[in-house]
Amino acid sequence: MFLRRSRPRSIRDRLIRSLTLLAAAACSLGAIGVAFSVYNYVNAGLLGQVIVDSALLGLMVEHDGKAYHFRYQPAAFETNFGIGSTDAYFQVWGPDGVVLAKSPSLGSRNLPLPPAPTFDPDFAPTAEELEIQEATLSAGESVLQGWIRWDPMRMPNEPPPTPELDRRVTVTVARDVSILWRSTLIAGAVAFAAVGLVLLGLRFVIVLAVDRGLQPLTNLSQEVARLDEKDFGGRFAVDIMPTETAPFAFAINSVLAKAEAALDRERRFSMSAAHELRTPIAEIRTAADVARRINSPEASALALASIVTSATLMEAVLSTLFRLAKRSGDIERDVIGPVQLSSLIDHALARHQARIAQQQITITRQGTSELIIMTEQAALSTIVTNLIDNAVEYTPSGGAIHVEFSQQAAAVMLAISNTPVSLSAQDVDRMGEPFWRKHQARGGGNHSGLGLALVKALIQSLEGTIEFRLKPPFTLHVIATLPHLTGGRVPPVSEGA
Amino acid sequence: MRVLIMEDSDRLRESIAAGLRSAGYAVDAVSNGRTGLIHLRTTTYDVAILDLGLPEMDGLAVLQEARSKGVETSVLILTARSEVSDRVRGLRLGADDYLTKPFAFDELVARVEAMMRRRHARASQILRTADLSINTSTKRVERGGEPIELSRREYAILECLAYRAGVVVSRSDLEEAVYDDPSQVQSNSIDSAISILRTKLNTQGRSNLIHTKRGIGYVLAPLKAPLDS
Repeated sequence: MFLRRSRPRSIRDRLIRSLTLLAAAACSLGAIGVAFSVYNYVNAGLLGQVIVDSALLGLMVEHDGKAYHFRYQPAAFETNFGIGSTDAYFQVWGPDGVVLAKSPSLGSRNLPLPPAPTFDPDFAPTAEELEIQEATLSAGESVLQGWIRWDPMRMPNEPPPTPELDRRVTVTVARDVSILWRSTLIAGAVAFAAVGLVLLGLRFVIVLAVDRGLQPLTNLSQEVARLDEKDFGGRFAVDIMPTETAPFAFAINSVLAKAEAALDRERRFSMSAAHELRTPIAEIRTAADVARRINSPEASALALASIVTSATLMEAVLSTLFRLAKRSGDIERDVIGPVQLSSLIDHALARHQARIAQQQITITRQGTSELIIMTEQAALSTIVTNLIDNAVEYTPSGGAIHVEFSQQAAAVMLAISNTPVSLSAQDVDRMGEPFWRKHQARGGGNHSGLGLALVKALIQSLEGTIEFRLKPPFTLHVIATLPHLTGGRVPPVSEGA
Repeated sequence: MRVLIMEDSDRLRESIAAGLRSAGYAVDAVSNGRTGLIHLRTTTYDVAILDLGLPEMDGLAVLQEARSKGVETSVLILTARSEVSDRVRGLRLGADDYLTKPFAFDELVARVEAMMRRRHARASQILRTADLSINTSTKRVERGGEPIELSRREYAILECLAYRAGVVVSRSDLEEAVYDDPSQVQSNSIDSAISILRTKLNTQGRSNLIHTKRGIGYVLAPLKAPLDS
């Protein structure tokens, strides 16, 4: 069963979509705000008109002691409440609830008689004193209705008021609220139409802004896409990158540098290995070619001997290469056990007894024979043997070799010093590099330049350190520090491993 | 023809030397650059085979030093370094040819022969004097179309004379071109070899081609009198 997964959208698309939605929401809120403002504005206007209308109307009601009279102001009333008007109404009730007057605009309709108001204003009512409600005309139209209870003014010839006579009239005015909704709807529609247009423009601006904002990221991704998997030499210009992408570029640069160094190491190693194998192959091939050319038993015998020697050398180089690769990759591990270091050194020196005597090389040593180190026995044997071999090989006649070993905290220090013919500081820096030799030549020997590289790999895999120091006059110190290892099978003490 | 081999691998040096000797060349072989340079400056070689990774003195340094001192020996670089930059550098420093290890020995010999021809301004591998023809590649000698069997040393002397046909070649030059160690050569060995050569070349009443210039040496020419010395 396959799960369908939609392809993730690009950051650009996500940003454009999100920003567009945000802009749409903001514009919609703006449009709603505009409509709400229009509603409030129109509503306030209506309310103001109702207040003014009711105050004016109240002032125009007079009573002469017998009847009510209305002093219409044609300019004001006939315009607002006349027959032609469709949205402004008034109606006046006497204290007994009898309709005293109503605007011609009402026709046969009536405004609802409102309940008794809270206030009886003495003069023109304020907004607080005016009772306001939404009401429905008898024909069903919605109106905003305001009303007051008002003691009409007396006529000039009016007798003094009779205390028991309640002359108060209920004056109500109303405005058709359809204009309110109509205005709000129109304003809302216009605002939303404007929002649509604005969004179209905004979308263009958003795309431009997002593209411009993402340009550094786009550039970075394009440069990353252009990276050649075989060539890690290129680097990103971190200095001119924005703060946000600079860490990415810096990290990529760092990875590229490591990859380039690793590739360079691998390339040099492969070239060195190929170079190192070319000579024995050439030896074998030439020996065979020449033997065939001379075509004599003596020549064939010599060629065969040469071929065997060359093949042995190749085998040794390949064997060391494999071991180096295994140790570098931490694939091969030897048995961990106690090793008597002095026995190992004795054994390694004994192999060169004849040369040491012949070359009159002075050997001095310092260290207790009781020093035991817990480590990989075979690995330590290879380390000591190689270091001693090198020291003896490169110490000139009459030279000296000093071997020193001691317990230091949780580790054992082994230092081998000798007087080589000539080494520079640059030479010492390269010691331990695979295939490096002081002179890139064999000098008649069988040195592949892998011995110290193997020693270095072994020591590092044993969690130790190795240091090459050159001290005048031409004394080389090789100092190896090896920690005691734990675990593994512990066989009896090995003498010389 | 005398060849100097500068190669630090004992086995390879000895194999090449044995092979070139079997091909009729006088060979000197050294294992380090410094000794090689001394040989180049003190002995006349037709060709030097030079390894680059030499102890004591790098091959390129040997080449540079030799050229700067006026040594005109043709130099064939024989090395495991296969990079184009190494080849270019070697050739620009004055090497005449470049061969990478491992190589076929026949190719090495063919390149040495080609260098010999270039050195003596010969385009063909066949050297001709009158009706005598010498194929320097197959080492086959014919006179009037008839093959002539020569020993390795006889052939070497004849080839040396043929490369410089018309020019007097001294005994010492012939000894250097033919013998690995001229100091161990008996004083009349060249004369004896010339005598045998004449006998083999002048069969069936053919005219003598190797003439003696008394007190100086020998010349290969169709005329009795040498043309030039």
